[in-house]
Amino acid sequence: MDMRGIAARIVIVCTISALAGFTVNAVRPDGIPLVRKHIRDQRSFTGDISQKNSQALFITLEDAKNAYDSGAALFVDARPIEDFNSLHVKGAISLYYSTAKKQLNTVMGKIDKDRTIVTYCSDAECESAIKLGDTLSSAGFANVYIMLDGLPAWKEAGYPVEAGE
Amino acid sequence: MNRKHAAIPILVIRLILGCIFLYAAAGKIAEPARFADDIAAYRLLPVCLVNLFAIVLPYVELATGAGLLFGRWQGVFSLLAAGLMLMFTAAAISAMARGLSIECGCFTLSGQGKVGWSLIMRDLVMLAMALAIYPISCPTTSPAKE
Repeated sequence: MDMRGIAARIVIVCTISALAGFTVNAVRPDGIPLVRKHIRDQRSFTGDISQKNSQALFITLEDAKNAYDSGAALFVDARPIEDFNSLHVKGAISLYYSTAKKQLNTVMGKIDKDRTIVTYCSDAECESAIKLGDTLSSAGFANVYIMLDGLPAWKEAGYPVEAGE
Repeated sequence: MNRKHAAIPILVIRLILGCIFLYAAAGKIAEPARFADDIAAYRLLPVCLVNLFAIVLPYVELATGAGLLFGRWQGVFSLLAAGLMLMFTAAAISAMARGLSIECGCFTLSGQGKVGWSLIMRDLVMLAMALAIYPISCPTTSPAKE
């Protein structure tokens, strides 16, 4: 087979693969939107707590730290458990966003619905913290915030972290 | 070792690579949102293209893995595998150069590894494996007496 033939077949394979991907994504219940929105364009939080509504809102690193220092906030790590075990915000609990609905009662059953909750994931480009925030808001938690900057920014700022379960 | 004597090592490499690609594809297909997050964390693609890439790439890997296992169009699938590994290696090097501490997004079924030198070495080994099984066309009537 000459190179032209190989190139043509590579195009065929990629085209069929793309069609399969789009078809499966369209029919599966957990399919993702074709165009991803820029996370920072989705919602914002001005820092004024009175603006809080039922949907989880973004919170800055500084506001998250203030909430942490007050002792009233519960930090919830939206990443997979193995990432949580390697490093997380000190005192945080793990609730992987993908299985959050199933684990909600086990993990969050004893948490007061009015308690301030801060979710986070890896960084500003991950959506796990947003999805977990929405899951918790939908479950009736009234004060859910998303620390969009994520764990790396928290760690770089010198804020408390720990490893282990 | 000529091409004839290399038949068994080539078969072994082809099957190993095929299984790795199928396993990698399965994890990405199982959790598309997580894979999209992993791609976004590399900050290489425009945000509007991230999900399209996350939808298509696992199926290219799936086709590549299946093609390598079945052994049809070996030139096509070995080059596809090499192209994918080249792309993954470049992305990992780029992420390291920019100081990003991110998940590699390689095998979501078995937990993630961080982008680092070990990942780049693994990618380079797989790139070499893919190139090693590319069928070089040898003249069939070449003089046998050497």
